[in-house]
Parts: sequence; structure tokens; C-alpha cells
Amino acid sequence: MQTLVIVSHPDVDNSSTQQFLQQGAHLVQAKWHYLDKLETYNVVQERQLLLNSQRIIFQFPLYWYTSPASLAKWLAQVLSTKFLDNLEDKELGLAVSTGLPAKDFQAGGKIGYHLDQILTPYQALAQQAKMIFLPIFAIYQFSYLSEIERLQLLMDYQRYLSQTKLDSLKNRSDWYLNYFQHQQLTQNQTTQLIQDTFRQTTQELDNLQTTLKLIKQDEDDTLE
Amino acid sequence: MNNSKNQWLLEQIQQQLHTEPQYEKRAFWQGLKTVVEQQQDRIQQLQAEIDGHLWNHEQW
Repeated sequence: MQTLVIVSHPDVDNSSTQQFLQQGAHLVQAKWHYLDKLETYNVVQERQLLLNSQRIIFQFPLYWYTSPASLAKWLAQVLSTKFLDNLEDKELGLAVSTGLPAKDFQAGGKIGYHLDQILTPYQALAQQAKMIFLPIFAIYQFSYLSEIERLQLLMDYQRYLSQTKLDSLKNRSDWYLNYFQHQQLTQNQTTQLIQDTFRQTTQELDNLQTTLKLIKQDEDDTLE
Repeated sequence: MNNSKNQWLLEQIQQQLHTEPQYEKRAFWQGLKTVVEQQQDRIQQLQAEIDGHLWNHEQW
């Protein structure tokens, strides 16, 4: 699956958040497309980028409850009502960083609105284009994250860009199994054993879910 | 899955996390550790739920 990350940020080279995320995009071979370095947009080329991608991510820091100006300018120049027909069934996601903590983005919080509400225009765009809107990937206060939280973020971001199925424990597990096989992890006896054991636990989880489903099915049949 | 196997898996992942020099690979081990912990919680919950159904006297 080809993923396109459209980055809108006035100074990406000095953004530790964007530099960090770029590593993640690179690891899963997503295409990184930085808008602010372009003076003008070649509409044909920009549209071709969209057509070549199955998952499209708008990525930006939240500026006054919306994206920086470059994304608004890009949308105005590149999209048209007719062109939207070509985006049907593609996925649209938002990777948004904020300088405030998650607790501020809720009713009663400092901002008072959730990111889902603030970023509604992008959901409307996806709906008009008949695209599949993905849950927003929010990064709150990157500079305050601990080392472990950053390591976890790097993986969650890679999954956001590349996990083909909806998020669930089963699909997450499958994604990690796949990662074992496709990334250049150190291969030795121990890592092979870890991989095999992890595959077993994933299978065990699957078996238990199937068993429970069968028991419930049996109970439903008994009640009929 | 028995508890000692669970424990072994988490210990091995933790070891990789501490010894891996490359950042993106350490990230992988951290992410895998989280998923394994979630799996273990879910497996225990499912086993308990299955036990609950099997010991439901109304079904005897």
C-alpha cells in the first residue's frame, strides 16, 4: 500500500517533531511530501501524487485551530469538485501535533473542543470525496514525551501510515509479525525464538476468540 | 499459554530493548513489548470468560 504524507509546516528543518516523524515515514517507505519548500504547485504533478497513493495523510502542527497556510493554499490550488471523484475509496488521515496536552482538548478543558470537532472540515472533505476517514493521529506536547513514550510513538506512527486493517489487537499483532519479516532486525537464535513465541501467542489469542465465539453461538442456539 | 512462557517472552524483549544500539530497532522492541502485554491481558480475560460460560449451571 502506498502512503503519501503531505507535510505542512513553516520550518520543518527546525521542528523536532517533524524530523522524528520523518524517520518513521522512511521506515515504512511512505512518500514524504513537504509543501512549504515549494513556491508554486504544479497541479498535474500534485494530483498524480494523490492518484498514486492509497492512503493520504495531511500532517501539520495545529495553528489557530487549523493547519498552517501552506496546506490551505495547496488544497485550494490542487483540488476541484470534479477531481474529487478520483479519490473515492482512498483513505484520508490527519497527523496533528499540538503544543497543549490532550486534556485541554475536551468540553470543559482549556480549549473546550476535541480535535475531532476542530478538524471537522477535513472530515467533510473526505465525505464529499467518498474517502475513508481514519481516526486522527494526535501528538500532544512532543517535547514533554519520555524516552519510552517516544519509542512507542515511532511505532504507532509507522502503524498509522502502513497498517492496512482497522486497529485491533489482532491486527496490531499481525502488523508486528509482518514487521519482523520485512525490517532489517538483527537475526539470531534469540530473536528467532522471540518471533516464534510471539507467533504462538498471537495464534493462541485467535484460538481463544474462536472458542468463545463458538460457545456463545452454541448458547444462542440452545435458547432458540 | 503458561505464565513462565509469558514471563520468558517479556524478559527476552526487555533484554533486546536494553541492548539494541539502533534507535528504530529499540522502538520496535518497545512496541512489541506493549503488544505482548496487551495480548497477555486479553488472553487472561478470554480464558476467564470461557470458564464463566463453561461453569454456567443454567447450561448444565
